[in-house]
Amino acid sequence: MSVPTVQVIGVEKRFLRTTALQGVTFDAAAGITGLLGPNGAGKTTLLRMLATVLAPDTGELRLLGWDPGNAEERLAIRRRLGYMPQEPGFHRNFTTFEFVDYVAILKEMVERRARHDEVRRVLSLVGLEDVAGRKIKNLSGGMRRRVALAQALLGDPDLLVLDEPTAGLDPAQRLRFREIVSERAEARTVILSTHQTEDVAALCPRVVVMDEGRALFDGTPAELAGIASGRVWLAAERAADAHLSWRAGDGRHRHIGTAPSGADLVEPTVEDGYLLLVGRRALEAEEAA
Amino acid sequence: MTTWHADDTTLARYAGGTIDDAAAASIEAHLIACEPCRMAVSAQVVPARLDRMWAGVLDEVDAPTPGPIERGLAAVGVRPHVARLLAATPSLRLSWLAAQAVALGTAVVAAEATAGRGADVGLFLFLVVAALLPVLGVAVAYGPGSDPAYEVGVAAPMRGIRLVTIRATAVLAASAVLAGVAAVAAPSLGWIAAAWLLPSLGLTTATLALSTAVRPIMAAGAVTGAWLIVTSVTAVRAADRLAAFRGTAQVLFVVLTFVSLWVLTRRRHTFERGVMP
Repeated sequence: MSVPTVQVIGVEKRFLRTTALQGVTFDAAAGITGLLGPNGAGKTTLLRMLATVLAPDTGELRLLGWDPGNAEERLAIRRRLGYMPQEPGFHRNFTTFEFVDYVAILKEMVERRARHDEVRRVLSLVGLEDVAGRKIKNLSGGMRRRVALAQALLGDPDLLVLDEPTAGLDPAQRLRFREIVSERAEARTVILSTHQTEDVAALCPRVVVMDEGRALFDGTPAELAGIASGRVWLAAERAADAHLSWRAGDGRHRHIGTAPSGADLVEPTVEDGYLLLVGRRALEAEEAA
Repeated sequence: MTTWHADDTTLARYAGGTIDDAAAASIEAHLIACEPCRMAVSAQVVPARLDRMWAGVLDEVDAPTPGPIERGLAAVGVRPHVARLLAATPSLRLSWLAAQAVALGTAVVAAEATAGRGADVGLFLFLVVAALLPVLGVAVAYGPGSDPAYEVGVAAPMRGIRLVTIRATAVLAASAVLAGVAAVAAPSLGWIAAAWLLPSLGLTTATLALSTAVRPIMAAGAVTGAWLIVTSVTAVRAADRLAAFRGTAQVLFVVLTFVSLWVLTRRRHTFERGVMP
């Protein structure tokens, strides 16, 4: 791996009696790193730390070579950071342009014309230039996610932290998002969280799987899929002793675990590897969400 | 048909923007009628300058018209980017200011109704309310729960204490104007109608100081509760119902203001990090 721009070393975080992170360690360099895990895995807490919003209780963070615990270095990080929170809030009476302009001011872009040019640039990038004058409260949910992405792209940041960026997007919007992010990631560091394995398979050369505040896996999507190699089967009937089993679109049952009788071994996917790793808890968390 | 043509030097100065206004107006009028000069000048225009001018035109045309709050702030000399920061302040919305005006109006009516009858319940109510309104305004001016874009703001390079200070000052100023108008509308109250100012300053800075330890809403709740208890107890127990607004108490509020500002300065770093939503 090239020079790491993000270093997370033994980070822990507790909120009252809840342990959100338990000694998480990983590095990331230029390119896209996906954090994959069920709801409650600790992804959002970790991303809020990478966005300098939260400080760890213990452990060490280095972002773009700086320590976010130091006030001056934190400021230097924030000047090169773009952050899209999981639930971005909007001043609903602002227009799209006014809201992104407001965030640009928070990002120290004071000179009016240069700031407005930058606002137009990012709105164009996410395909929202035609609704620049429309009130945010009148936009669809998908458009609001794009507004949130646009504000994160202001200033062409070196570190882009995106929390569940594809949640609520339709397939066409998701494709557009992948185009935008993959273009940005060629020379920059993008860390995004998701609980959708398709996003990881399509976008991320590197994936960190998290569960219950721990990093369970760190590698490529192919390596994640490889975990399930030799353990994914298709059979006509459901096997009672399978680790996980469900009826696929072709009517046959897909099993992860030991081979049921008469089953065919198939190539594993990223989702198979993820489910084998995180197990039934992932399904339960998805159902609860 | 025109019979004369501008010379190359004049056209070059026009194209470069170095010609005086009167000559530029004359050349412009000529260019409308003279195709050869239009061709000549177009060859001398520097594309970068044209791009800058076009960007300026585009910006003027495309930039959205600011809302009433931003226009009002600009009218009193607030810089446009600061006005936009203030326009995002929940307690500077027209609906909030209107609610403040209604609360103050009600207090003034009560004060006027009891004035001159030896009973100062209405005046007491006016002072208690006028001192409290900025506290509530400051509590919802910043922080999780009241600022929808709070988390994005925390991760931005602008210092949290700067945003808090800008917004708190604007809220205090707006409240002071409203309360001032209310006091003028009730001339029978006399000078004591301004006696809420220092208590309000003390309570507001105390709320900000407490906000470095707990959420602003909780800080405001604690300060409001303490204020209501103190004023109620003094009104009942002291011989003077307005004792909380007289000389000695005013000095105490000045002390409270300075202590709170000291705490705020010492703990300003707490605005640089977020809390769990």
